[in-house]
Amino acid sequence: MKKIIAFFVISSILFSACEREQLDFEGPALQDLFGEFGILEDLSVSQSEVDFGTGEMVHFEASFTKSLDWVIEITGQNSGAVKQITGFSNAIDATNSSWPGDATILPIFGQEPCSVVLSFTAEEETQNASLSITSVKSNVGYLISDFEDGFNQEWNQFAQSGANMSFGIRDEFQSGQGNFYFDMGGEVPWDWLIGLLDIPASAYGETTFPLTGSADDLYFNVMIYKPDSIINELILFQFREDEDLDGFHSSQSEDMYSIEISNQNLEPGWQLISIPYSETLSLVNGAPAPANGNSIHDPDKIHMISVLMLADPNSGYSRTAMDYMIFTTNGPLRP
Amino acid sequence: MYRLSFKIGLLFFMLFNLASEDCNAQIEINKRTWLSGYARSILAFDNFTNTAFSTDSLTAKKLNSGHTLVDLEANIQPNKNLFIHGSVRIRNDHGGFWNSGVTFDVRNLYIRGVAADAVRFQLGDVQYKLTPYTFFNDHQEFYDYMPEIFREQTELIHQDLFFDNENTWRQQGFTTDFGFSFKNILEEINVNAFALRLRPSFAAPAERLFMGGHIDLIQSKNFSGQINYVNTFDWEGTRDPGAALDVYNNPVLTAGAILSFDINNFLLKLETEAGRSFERKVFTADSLETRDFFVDASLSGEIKNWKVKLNFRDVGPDFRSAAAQTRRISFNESNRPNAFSEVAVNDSVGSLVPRSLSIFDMMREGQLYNSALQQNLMITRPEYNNIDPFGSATPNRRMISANFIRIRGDKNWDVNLGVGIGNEIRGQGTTEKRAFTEINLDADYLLEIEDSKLLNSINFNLKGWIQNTTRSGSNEFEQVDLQSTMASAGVRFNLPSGFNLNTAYMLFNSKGNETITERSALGEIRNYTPVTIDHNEQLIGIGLGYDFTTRNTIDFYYNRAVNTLSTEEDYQIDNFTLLFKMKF
Repeated sequence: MKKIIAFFVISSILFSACEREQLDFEGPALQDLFGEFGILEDLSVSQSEVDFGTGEMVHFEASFTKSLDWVIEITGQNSGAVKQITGFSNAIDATNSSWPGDATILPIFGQEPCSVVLSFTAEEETQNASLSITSVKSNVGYLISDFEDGFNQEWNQFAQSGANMSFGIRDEFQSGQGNFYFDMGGEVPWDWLIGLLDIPASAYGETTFPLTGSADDLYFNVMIYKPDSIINELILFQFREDEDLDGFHSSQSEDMYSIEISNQNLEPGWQLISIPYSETLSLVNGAPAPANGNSIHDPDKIHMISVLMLADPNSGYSRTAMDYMIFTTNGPLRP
Repeated sequence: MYRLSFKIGLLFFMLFNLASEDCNAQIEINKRTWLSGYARSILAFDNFTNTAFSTDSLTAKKLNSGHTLVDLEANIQPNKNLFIHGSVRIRNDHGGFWNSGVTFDVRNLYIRGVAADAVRFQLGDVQYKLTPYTFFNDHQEFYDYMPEIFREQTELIHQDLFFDNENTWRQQGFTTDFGFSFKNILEEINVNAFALRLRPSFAAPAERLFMGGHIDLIQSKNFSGQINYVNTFDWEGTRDPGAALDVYNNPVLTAGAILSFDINNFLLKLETEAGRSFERKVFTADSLETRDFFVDASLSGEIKNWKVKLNFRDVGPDFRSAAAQTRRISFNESNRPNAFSEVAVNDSVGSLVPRSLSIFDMMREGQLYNSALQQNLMITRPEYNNIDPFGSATPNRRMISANFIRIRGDKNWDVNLGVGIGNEIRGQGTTEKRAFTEINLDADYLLEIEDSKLLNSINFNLKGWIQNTTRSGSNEFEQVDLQSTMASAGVRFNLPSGFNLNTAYMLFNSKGNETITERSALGEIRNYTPVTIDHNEQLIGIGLGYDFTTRNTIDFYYNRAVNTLSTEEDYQIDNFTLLFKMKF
């Protein structure tokens, strides 16, 4: 009998040590799926003025009777820049709505007043607020050009003498960032090339661009504008490496990697193109081909960047624009 | 082709001869080799009436099907310590002329023996179980409460899928058992162990194994203890490196005790089992780990033919034991009956919609059943069983039940009346918990008729259950109120000369509302679907049978299923079945 009692005592001790995970309930809340929607706390902004340039962030606050999909859309009143923050919750706070000043839809936000609209996927209710940007977000990276300071005389530009040619820095429409962009347009019935821009490292007082050597970590970013009616543009970015660091690029014995952006890759308006340098390709006439040098992506040996605006000579007028060309490390640009 | 036909012909010749004699005996080839087996032939004719859509011209109204099959079992005993069993099934679907409907399957193959006169082992196909919380094959819904005439027809499926009344699962692998006897402290220690292969690695995922064992510690006739351990796991390294990540691990450890005392013919017995589970699932980029425990304790008192049993069980919401919680039937959308698989509905174009699975389909369609252990909780139907759809191991239940049992013994009647109440341990989507009540009854009475040339005896049985599920809440969407009732009555007239007449009526009704949970690939609840249930099924059965021997019978059944599963699925199926079966 003593052994039996001992068994039950030991068993009781063992199983009294068992604990369950203490959850209020399993699965998503029924209230969130089937409950009635109501706003418990109206939308508010953590600060009415925000200085993104010093690293400040702004966040929004609101709460509801149920969890649901919500969207906060911030629109720059001057630039038209748009930032969208989305979530699924019954409360909006700093954990899910902090905004460092970046844009979802280009252009980049400027120093401007912004409207804020909170809307819901499954409800018609909307809430409004406003804020003012006192300084814009600064981006970390190696800026090739934002075209705000005019044409760098060390750059080389060539434009065909076609019809309706516009090749250079302009401010005719809203730029991707700041006020100016580089316009590339015209009609050249005898050649694919409409114009090109060579940007050598020497324009910045360097033999090669001062970039990281890790091709996986380095991102090339550029804002591209596609006009509504244009469907024939082809933009080619070429990165010529000086592998032997002799101050020159030899097309016979050194690598040149490219990014080709065609109409199929673009939507009307401004958009950001970001690509790791390791994913740039060696191309011949648009087709992948073996590189002529060591076949290793060496971003720290980029000697010159060339931008070629191309279009089928039989396809008529073509046009695009670019802005804010910048290299970033460890991730693409968050403009 | 000729050779195949000749073999089939030879088999039927043998069977016919066996049927005409008393076939309790197996066919002995020599002292160490003999043949045994099972054979049946079935013909079924169905007529479908679309009650909801009387002008339905799209649904096929008539159906007939049938087959003949023979399981030919070779039994070889090369020596006193070894036994080899092999079984081949030859099946010919009626209408499959010129062997086009003939299939040959190796159905059963194992070797068993005793090593060193002490260690028993079996290798190959095995039937195995441990406890209801570790490795157990619970009966499907309604089976325990069906009148005999419907159970007889359901047992054809059980025969095909190796489901038995011992609740074992049919698996493949290795089992062993051995024991020790002692003079002091303990009388015996018995050990069972197994290693089963659940999923071969021919396909991309890793090989899945299921291993475990059971140790029985018998201290005396009054006290014994047990330890059970099972583990379902994927053998990493066998997975195709290019395959999507799908890893599973589910160890379960339980311990139990049985304490019994006989006090002046009053037998008092306490049975307990408690244990813990751990489950780890990795599926592509997601993973989930859960831990939980259960406790099950029963106290019973028995005197003469009467027994009272009280049970308490607490099974945690995250308690997972794949081999105990796998169901025989999954009620997922794709698991549909073959017969009249689509029915026309009375909409503007007379669309054909898939027919839902019903009790009548569960009684006769084997392809609806699952025979493999499943890692996720399978889909259930709350109207059919909302309290313990995964058997005793149903997670998230805290139940107390009492059974009042009259054991037949040498009398002509027995009764088992049970009542239970309980609730969820953790709410689903709300802090409110479902509350459950159930009542069940199983009563049999044998009326023996003496001095009658027309009738030997009559068996009466009355079975049924009521389940009620409620959940309160301040919001309407939290509230649940579902009541399901099942009742059946059967009468079997045992006539002289081996004839019998069997009749039964079974009614199932469910009405109310519930919230069906939908789970992700990892098993987490991800959504709910509120449903309103107004469901009615009736089964009528009449059977005339003749027993050549206890192992050799021929039966003619008439079944009628009248189902109102929804406004669209309101129909009647009339079925005539001729069934010949024998064991030899």
